[in-house]
Amino acid sequence: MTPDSFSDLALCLVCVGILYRCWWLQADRAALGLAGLLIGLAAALGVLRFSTWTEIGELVKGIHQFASVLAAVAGFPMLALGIVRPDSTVARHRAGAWWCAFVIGGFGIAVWVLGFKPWAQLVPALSTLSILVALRKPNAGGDRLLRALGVGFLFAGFTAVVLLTPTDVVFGMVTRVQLLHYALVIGLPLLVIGAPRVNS
Amino acid sequence: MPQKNFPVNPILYAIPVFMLTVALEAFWAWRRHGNRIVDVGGRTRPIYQFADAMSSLQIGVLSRIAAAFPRLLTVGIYVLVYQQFAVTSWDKSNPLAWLLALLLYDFFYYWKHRANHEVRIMWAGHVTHHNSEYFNLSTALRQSSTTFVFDWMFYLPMAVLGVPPEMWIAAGLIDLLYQYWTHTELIGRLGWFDRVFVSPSNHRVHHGQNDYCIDCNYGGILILWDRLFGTFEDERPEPIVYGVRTPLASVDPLWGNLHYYALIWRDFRAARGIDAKLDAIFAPPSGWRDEKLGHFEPLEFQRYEIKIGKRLARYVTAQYAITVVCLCVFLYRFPHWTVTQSMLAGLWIVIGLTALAAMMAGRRWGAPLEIARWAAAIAVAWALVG
Ligand SMILES: [Zn+2]
Ligand SMILES: [Zn+2]
Repeated sequence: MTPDSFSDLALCLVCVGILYRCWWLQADRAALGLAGLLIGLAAALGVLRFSTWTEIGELVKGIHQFASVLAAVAGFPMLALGIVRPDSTVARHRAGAWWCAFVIGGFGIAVWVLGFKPWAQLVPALSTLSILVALRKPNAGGDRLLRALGVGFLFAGFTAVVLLTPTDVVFGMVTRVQLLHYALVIGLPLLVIGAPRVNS
Repeated sequence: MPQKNFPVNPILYAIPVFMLTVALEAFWAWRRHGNRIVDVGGRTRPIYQFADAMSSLQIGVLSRIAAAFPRLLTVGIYVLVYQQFAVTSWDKSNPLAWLLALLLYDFFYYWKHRANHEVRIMWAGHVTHHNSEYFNLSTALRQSSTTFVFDWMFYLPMAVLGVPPEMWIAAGLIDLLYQYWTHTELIGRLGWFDRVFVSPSNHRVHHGQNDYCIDCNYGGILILWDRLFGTFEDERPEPIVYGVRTPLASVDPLWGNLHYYALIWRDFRAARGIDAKLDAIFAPPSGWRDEKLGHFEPLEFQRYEIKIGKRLARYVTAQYAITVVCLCVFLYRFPHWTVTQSMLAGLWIVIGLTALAAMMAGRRWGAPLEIARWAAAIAVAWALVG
């Protein structure tokens, strides 16, 4: 297993946990569950793509890229929806969350293939920013401190991607993509655990 | 920019077949059944109603014009996804690959069609196909002019799986053309066929508004998808009342395409807060799963009826025939025209459709608009010849 593959595996396992908690255990947190599914799917394919088994890596390359863009343009908005508007029917109902993610994802993919590649960075950044802004509401419920920490880790990950080049190595062993994955590994569970309770 | 060497739109070849079969079905309905069929409460009703059928046919023309413009973009997105993400490329010389592509297309069609019924913003487009309160081959041609906004998204996984664009387009055409014959009341139940393939029987149920008909039978070619995903409903002996629960009550082709968007816009503006606004866009038209669907009483349903005199009917029919010829010219010339030329030609046809619908509905501005349209056409022709 390569270091890239390992960081994807860690992210994938965290997302499986989010999916289990928000899609199966709690029936009214569909948007968060879907965020786990989309980001987790990209990570799972990343495990295969960067594994030492190069034939499989080549085979899943396209799907992995597609899933990664989808996770960025649809997974993060779902995360924000589930945290910022947890009581909305779209965030609570599986069908609502699913079709909402589908539409946002479809347009996101189109924007990306039509040449506006920064869309895949802009959407996660804006989604995380909306979670940050919503922290100002004192009686939103949930654990604000955990959410604030989660937002911090996510922004740290995004900053690493922007500031470092693909060949840069920090702490003597970690690339920028691995750094983003580990930031998500810590930040996503913090956000999900700290998310406000669903009222209705 | 005119595009040279662009393949001829295959729908062009289908148009004469559509026109001939609609005429044949109408003839058959009169000849064999006196154009009457059993309705609720033991009454009878027409199989073909002139204004309804003409409106469906006009909406069909409008849909082909509207579809021509964004086609390059939607096909382009598929091609780009295919070029950038495809895991492999399917062998175009292998007939099995074409068959598999059709199967895959039909699977995604099922989900597209289901979403079109379960998400308000998508239903706003698809509702056009369901607005007719009758069910015949003209209903099949009553296609939406706006579903292109979301349709392409459903097939992107095919591009990622490596289905070449040509295969995707061909599969889409086969799937669409297959569904044409299922819009009829003149073919009864077909035994095992009704349980495997989309057929007139199970598609009649799909177009109904009786309680048991809501949100079912979404398949394109195979009804097996519905049986697999739990949305299959077999036709029952009770007569089906066709149409939708938010009746259109209009023959205007533009309003037929836009009325549900207007409803969404009204709800969106009235909604307080982001949650309610999201609901106005993404909620299922028939309510969320935990909400109870209102009961529909077939006996109380009033169909939208407008009486049209024989002379007007003849005029509208003749004008429609001319419009179909104009549509064929439009589709044939479209790749060679500039965008402005195409838009002007399309606009002229659409104004014609609106004027004819207004005349059928007895609107005072219908005839003047019709005269103005022809005056403009003659003036342009004069200028071109001169
Ligand atoms: Zn339908
Ligand atoms: Zn239909």
